[in-house]
Amino acid sequence: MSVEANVTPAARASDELICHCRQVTYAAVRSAVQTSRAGTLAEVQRETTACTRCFGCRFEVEGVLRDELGERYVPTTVVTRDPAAEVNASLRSRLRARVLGVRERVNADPPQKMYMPVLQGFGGHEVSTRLVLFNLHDERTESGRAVSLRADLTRLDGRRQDVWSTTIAPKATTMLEVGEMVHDGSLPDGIGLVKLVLDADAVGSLRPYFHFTSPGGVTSTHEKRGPRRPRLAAKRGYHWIFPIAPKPRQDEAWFFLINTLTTPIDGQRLVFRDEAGREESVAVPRLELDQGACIPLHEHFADVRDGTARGSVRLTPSVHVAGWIIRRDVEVDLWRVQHL
Amino acid sequence: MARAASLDTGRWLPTYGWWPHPDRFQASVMISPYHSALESDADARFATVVRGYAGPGAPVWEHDIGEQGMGEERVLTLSDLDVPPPPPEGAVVEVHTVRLDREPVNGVAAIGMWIDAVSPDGGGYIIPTQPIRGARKVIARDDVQVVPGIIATEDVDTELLLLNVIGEPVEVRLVASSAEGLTQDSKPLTLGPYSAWLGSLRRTVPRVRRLLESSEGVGSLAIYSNHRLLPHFGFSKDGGPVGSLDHTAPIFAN
Repeated sequence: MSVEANVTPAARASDELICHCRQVTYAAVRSAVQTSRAGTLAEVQRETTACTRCFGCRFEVEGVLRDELGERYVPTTVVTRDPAAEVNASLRSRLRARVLGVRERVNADPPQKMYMPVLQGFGGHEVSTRLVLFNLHDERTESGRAVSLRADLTRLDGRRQDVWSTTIAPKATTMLEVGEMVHDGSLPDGIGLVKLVLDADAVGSLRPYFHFTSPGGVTSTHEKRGPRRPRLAAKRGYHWIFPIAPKPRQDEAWFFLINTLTTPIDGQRLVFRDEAGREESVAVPRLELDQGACIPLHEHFADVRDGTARGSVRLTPSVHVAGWIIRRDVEVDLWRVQHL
Repeated sequence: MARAASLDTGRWLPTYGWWPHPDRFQASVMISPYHSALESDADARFATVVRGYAGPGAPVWEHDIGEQGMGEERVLTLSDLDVPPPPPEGAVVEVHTVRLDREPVNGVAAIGMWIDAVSPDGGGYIIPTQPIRGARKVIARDDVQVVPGIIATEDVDTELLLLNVIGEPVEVRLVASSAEGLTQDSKPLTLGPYSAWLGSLRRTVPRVRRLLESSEGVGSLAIYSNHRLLPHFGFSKDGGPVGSLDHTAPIFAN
């Protein structure tokens, strides 16, 4: 299913799904708002069960609220699962399964999400992203389970641009060229992220990696998972760091991070510290759940730009993020990516 | 300056990475306290020794970084050491960092650091060093790891790097799989103790291009070994430099 870029929530077809986890349509959400049953995200969750599992439709639901209520709508900054909505979702799921005579498929527990960065023409460069999803099939512990998942392509501000669903058989590898999901103008600056949402509670046998491909070559690393309990700002005993050694050639460097917690990241900084103890820092923008940022270190730190840096860049205060190091050799247009 | 090795034992265990030949990559070991402690741990103190192995027996060199307090960054460029180069395929570098102010909370632990490497012709990689024991994540199986997204096309090949960081030979078998799950095996490989094996997927797994041609040359790889191995992979285009290296995916316990 495709979500066309720059189409406002009001212009969506009424039978189009807004919440893929709970199978809730735009019309159901719009009706709840128009009949004054819902004026906040929490009330939409309670009335319709939309946005009560992976929160992937959060910005679309807020778009409907904004369309319908105008300035009366007060956006929320913390997305949580309303307890009453959870009960409603569970009851409706069981009822739907009973009426249809099928096994209950909608799980009330939050899925563990998996995140990947997307570069698709980033900065005007000829770089593209391919997802590679391998269902490894551990023959000792599993009889061979197919894995069903949904991939949400979103902008860095969290707005979803497209949705792709698939089922991967045991031992099979499935590829997704992200360029096929990108419509004109849907990813500003050619950058975004993909969020994988599995039908199952556990990630199990799925191993997602991704490729960045450019004229200079191919680079690859794997996804980063969100925490099992995204409501809790998990305490970390160390910092995410981006180590940087001297480079003999012109090299660009970015710190790519995604907030995987339901509470916003606010007030964080990236601090470069070298062997001599000198520090420089740059502010990290405020990020709500599923929003990302790609911060060009070579533009903020002179030693990184000059290739003389000897030290590391750390994210502080420490907080759980999905993060990657991205580098580009300017001369041969060769990218390098590594998860944190 | 390197000096003779003296191995320590303790509850802080070492981590490992690739010691590449300097003609291929200029590699630096990046030692940062921030990777294992918080700014608020002002009393944290560390000591690190870096060792090079190129076969069984004792390390061929050892470099003592010395003590580091919180906030003290260190960069050790291996080509700056007065040591003989490793074989063309490279060898093993051991990074053994211990915390001096406390013992591990649970039994044993390993403090990983990073290696940042650049090639004279534009390639390079940046990758954390890995432990054999003492990892934070529990691994369910240590006899297989996977690479989702191997590539074997006319212009792009997958470079495989296998590190054996134990004192025994390790038997290895590579199984490439197509998008549909069809498979093709390599001949068995044997890696000597404390050594690196570097090879091309196209040369190691027969007919792998044909196996993968229905999915534009992309598939996956399982690496079976009779002991725990540290595999890595990267890609080279038209015989050019490897653009990056990443570690393979183990099967975790949860």
